[in-house]
Amino acid sequence: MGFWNRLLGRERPSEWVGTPAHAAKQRLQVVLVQDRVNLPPEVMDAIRAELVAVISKYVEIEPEGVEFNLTKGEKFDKLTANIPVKRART
Amino acid sequence: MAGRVITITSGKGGVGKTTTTANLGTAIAMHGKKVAVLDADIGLRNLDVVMGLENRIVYDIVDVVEGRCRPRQALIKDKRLPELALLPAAQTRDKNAVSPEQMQQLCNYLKSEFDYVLVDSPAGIEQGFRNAIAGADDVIIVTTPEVSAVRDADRIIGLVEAYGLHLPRLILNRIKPHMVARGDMMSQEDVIDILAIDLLGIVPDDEAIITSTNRGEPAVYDKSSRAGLAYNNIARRILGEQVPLMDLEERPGLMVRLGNLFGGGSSNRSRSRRV
Repeated sequence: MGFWNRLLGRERPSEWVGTPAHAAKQRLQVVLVQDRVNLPPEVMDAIRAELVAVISKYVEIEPEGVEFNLTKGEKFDKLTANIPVKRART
Repeated sequence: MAGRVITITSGKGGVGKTTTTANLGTAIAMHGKKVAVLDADIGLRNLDVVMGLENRIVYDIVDVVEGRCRPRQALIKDKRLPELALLPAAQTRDKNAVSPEQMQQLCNYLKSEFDYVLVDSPAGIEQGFRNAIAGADDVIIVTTPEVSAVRDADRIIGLVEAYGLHLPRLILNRIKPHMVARGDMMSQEDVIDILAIDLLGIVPDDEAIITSTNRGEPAVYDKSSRAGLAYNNIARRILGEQVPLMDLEERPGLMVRLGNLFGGGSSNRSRSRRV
């Protein structure tokens, strides 16, 4: 499949990742999910702060490195949190 | 006659709504249909100059709505196509001079006289836009492959659906195939992927649009114009013909593709813009 799609020019070569077009598409996908769900930034910030608080109760985290985003999923949009952990609290 | 009212809108300004309206109206009339084009951008009238009819305006849409003249008196016959007419916007009034109900009535009247009524919507999501879709049977969204225009198009799609109309169709305007080929511009697949609506057509970026607008003659008259050809294809699709999408002829040739396939892509794609 991939071979033929590529031969016919239908599939993008891996170098497409990182191009301005790819950046535009990715940024739009993030922005539009937020536009469509209509979660105000204050609410996003509140969820993020509470999540960080709960996790901090049990593990020590790196607050600077927390990423919290609404992204497009296959069936549903996804809230993804990326929280770097330093060590468990004892 | 039971015509169709098609509103051309975009959210963002400057993406080519008026040019699209003028070209589609002209092209559909060239196929022998009776067409009215209506400028709903009250206060920023422009469809008249794009069509080269600015010297013939006597009455405008506000005169019709306020009963100073009959619709027939305000409709301006096109210079070349007797089946094409323009109802100009008022230049000295604002968007609140017409209500959505009045617009609906006007569209109903025009539908009884014409096969197609194309409404050129103003930019934005306020009253002017609401007026423009008030009488619509179908909506066409015009966008360019830029993040701001696509984002606004997405917003407009949501508003059109909320208004109770069926999903609009998309015209992707000002595609630059050479930029798409090297990954510097989103392709039609990318934009469709994001907006999830049907594609009605793609229009390549074409300097002939500027020269034809300068003359006040829509590009569909210019047989050498790629954009004119694209608009004519879209007009035929609106008329129900199956017309394949325009081949932008900028896909990499077979040898480059073979190179990509086997050599892992030592292609000629430019990376200068990624700095």
